[in-house]
Amino acid sequence: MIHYFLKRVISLLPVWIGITIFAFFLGLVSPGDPVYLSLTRDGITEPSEAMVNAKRAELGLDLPYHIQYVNWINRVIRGDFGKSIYDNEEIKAEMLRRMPVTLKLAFSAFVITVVAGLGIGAVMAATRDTILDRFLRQLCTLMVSIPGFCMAIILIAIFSECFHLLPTSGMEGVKSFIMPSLVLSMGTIGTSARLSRSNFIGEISKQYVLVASAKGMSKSFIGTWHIFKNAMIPIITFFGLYFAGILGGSAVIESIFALPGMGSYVIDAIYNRDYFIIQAFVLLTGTIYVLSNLLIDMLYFLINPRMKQGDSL
Amino acid sequence: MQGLTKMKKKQSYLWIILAIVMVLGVAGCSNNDVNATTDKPDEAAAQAALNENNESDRTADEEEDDEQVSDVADAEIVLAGTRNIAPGENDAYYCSSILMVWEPLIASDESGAPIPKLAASYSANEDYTIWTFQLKEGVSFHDGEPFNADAVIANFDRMKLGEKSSNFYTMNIDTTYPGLEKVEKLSDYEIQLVFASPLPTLDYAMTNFGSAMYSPKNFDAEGNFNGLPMGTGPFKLIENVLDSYTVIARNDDYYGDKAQIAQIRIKVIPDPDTRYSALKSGEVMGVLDLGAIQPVMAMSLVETGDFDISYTPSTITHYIIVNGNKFPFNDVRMRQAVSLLIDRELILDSFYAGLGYPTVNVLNQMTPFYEAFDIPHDVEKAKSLAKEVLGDERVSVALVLRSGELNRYPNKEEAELLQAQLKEIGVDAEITILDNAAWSAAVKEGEYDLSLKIKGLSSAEPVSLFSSMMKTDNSLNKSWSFGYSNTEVDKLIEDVSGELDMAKREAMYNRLQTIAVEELPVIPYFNDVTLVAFNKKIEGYEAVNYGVTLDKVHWAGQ
Repeated sequence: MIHYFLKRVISLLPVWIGITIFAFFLGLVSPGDPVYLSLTRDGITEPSEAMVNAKRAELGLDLPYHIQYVNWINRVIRGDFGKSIYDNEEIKAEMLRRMPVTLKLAFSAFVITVVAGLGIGAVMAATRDTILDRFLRQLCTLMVSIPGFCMAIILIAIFSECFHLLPTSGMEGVKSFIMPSLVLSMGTIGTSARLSRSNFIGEISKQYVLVASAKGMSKSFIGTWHIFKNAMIPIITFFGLYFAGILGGSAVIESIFALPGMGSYVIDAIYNRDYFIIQAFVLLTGTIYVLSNLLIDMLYFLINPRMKQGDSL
Repeated sequence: MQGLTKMKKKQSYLWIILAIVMVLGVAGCSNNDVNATTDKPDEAAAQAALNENNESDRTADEEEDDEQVSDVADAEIVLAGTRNIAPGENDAYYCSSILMVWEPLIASDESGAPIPKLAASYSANEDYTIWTFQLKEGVSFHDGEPFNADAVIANFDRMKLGEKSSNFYTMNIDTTYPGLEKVEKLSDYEIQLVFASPLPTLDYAMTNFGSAMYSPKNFDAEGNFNGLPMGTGPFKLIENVLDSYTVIARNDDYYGDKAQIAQIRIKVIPDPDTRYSALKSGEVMGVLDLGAIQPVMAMSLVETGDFDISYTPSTITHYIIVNGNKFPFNDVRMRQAVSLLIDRELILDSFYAGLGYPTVNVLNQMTPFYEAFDIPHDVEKAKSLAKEVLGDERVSVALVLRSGELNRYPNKEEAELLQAQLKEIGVDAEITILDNAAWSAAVKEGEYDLSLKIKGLSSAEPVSLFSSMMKTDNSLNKSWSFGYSNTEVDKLIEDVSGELDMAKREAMYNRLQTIAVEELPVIPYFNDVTLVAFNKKIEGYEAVNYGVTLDKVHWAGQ
């Protein structure tokens, strides 16, 4: 197990290094000068060329790219992401402040997606080709089709404007996360429900189910202990990557619902070409992806005893 | 077989652990801290009610009634802003002047002219190199420190530490107080600023953000704030959760008229649609700050009968900016053609609910130096001028919009109208939307022909605006590729700074405005208003030049 874990970690190291290079150069290729934007952020001041150049030199942005990259990596390894070019705030502190908001949002969306996705998938599989199955399939298609921002506006109109049940925005406890989580999970519920349905149906038709049934095992036991677990393996991959994806994909939802999370932070950074924040964010989300993959692999290993060290996954 | 059973047990535990983690995750989503803070206003209101009702000779019922009335009157009012209205310790001012937490030595009146605020009065010597300020007595900062000459000097010492950036106005002593040689204490309530060269309009530069005053104990060694801001204003800032909300409470020790409401919470809601929904749902009672609400949305709220609006002229001017470095807008006749072609009234009526003031003047109206000009709209003359330049050819141009503006202004719709109108003079415009950074890069490199852009007047002293937009190869004239050059303008801008005679100074500004109207380095089309919308459950919510009358706001009927 440990050997397998170490092997996986070593194999992911080049991926992580690739992420750092990608993160670093991603910001640099975009048009726009973060130094100029920083010096003009009050909308009134217009800096001279000398002021812009002085600030650029102060930030080390006048150095050759490869030296900038090495300097950046040196800082990152020590856990220092530097300060925002735009407002001079500590990036690490800002990320630590915002991360819990995004994690809460991601986790609640994740739970809704898992529960609803698996639940609807199981119901569809159990009622295969009935009216209910067909209805739920159409519902899944609808959920996938409606864009998140559109769903957000609809939900705000219904639950905030009409019924005054939920706040439109902000951080007012658990109720503030209901609409954003729903919006964030809606599309994925549709996809995961259909994925679950096809996996459940695939497992139901396998030989071992017939054998277990012939042995006299109850339907619920077979469903819970055999079909569900076997069907879960590809679904875990989907959910694992989905969770990592939310961290980077919640930006629009955070902006609409005024949630001060990582997404809205990086969106502002992109607008302001704040390279240091963009680099830190891409590195962080990339690392989370890498770790999610590692976790998924380890879960495979734990869930399925047939998967031994060296098996293809 | 035993191994298999163990494996099954392990797997069962795994599923149970997963289930527990999920349940805990959901439970962990609840935010008790935030709930606790939302309870605070009620406690504060109750406390205030108790303090006010201490007359021992009244009946218990009467006291209870009074408490209830006071509770309602002092219940917190929740408003919504478009951005962080209090960016915090590293911002030069910690928070916007809108919050009325800090006050300046010099404020501005409704026309933008300077008026004394924390300075009781002020005067300058004959050559405007020495300015003397008498300070208000009996004023104290929110931390109890007295406002006096030492406090003012401490604030100047902070400014001398170097430029401080801000979301509102960059704090730069060399810009606001150029050539400042010394700040002298003449007495406990009198200071003197001595300059190397004459500064006849120093008081204009000092208005509002130019002379913000904080407690001398409010700064760290680098000049950043060491905690919440300690100003002298009618409100104290008591809680600030970045990107979420800011809470201000009435300063009961304020030297002037005290604020009418005990506490106000300003939520940060950057998305305009969400802000509108929050207002409509009754979640917030009003909106404030730049671009608080789009006029069309505001009018739709008014139609419901539950909301009202307030507006007043603002320092923002809307411009069509043009690339004067390349054909066709390097020819003044084409710029004049565009100015004659556009129907400013139509734009205002169609997209701004008529809220705004058409203009052809590069200078915003919020300065005493503003001159009103006729606003011609003559399509035939526009066609004739364009024909002189283009002949019978048509020309394709890039109309580039800045995405940052689109959340606040209907620029896209305006651009589409402009696109349709430009066809009449032989100009085919292609509209492109760029994000802020890409837009800045594009206009700097001259990779555009037309754009729509707002610009605020930083001070009622307009020399910096003329210098920025009209001086050859300078500032915005260069970075927005206006390519404008006029030796007379350059000389006027250089001379006006040293002109001590105010009548002559005014004449020079008039001449600059006249030239700008004729040669149109940019094409101004209207001066904006500060527009706010509010629920009729509150009163006293009036728009001012920059912000709202927060100190006058109160629950209706209280």
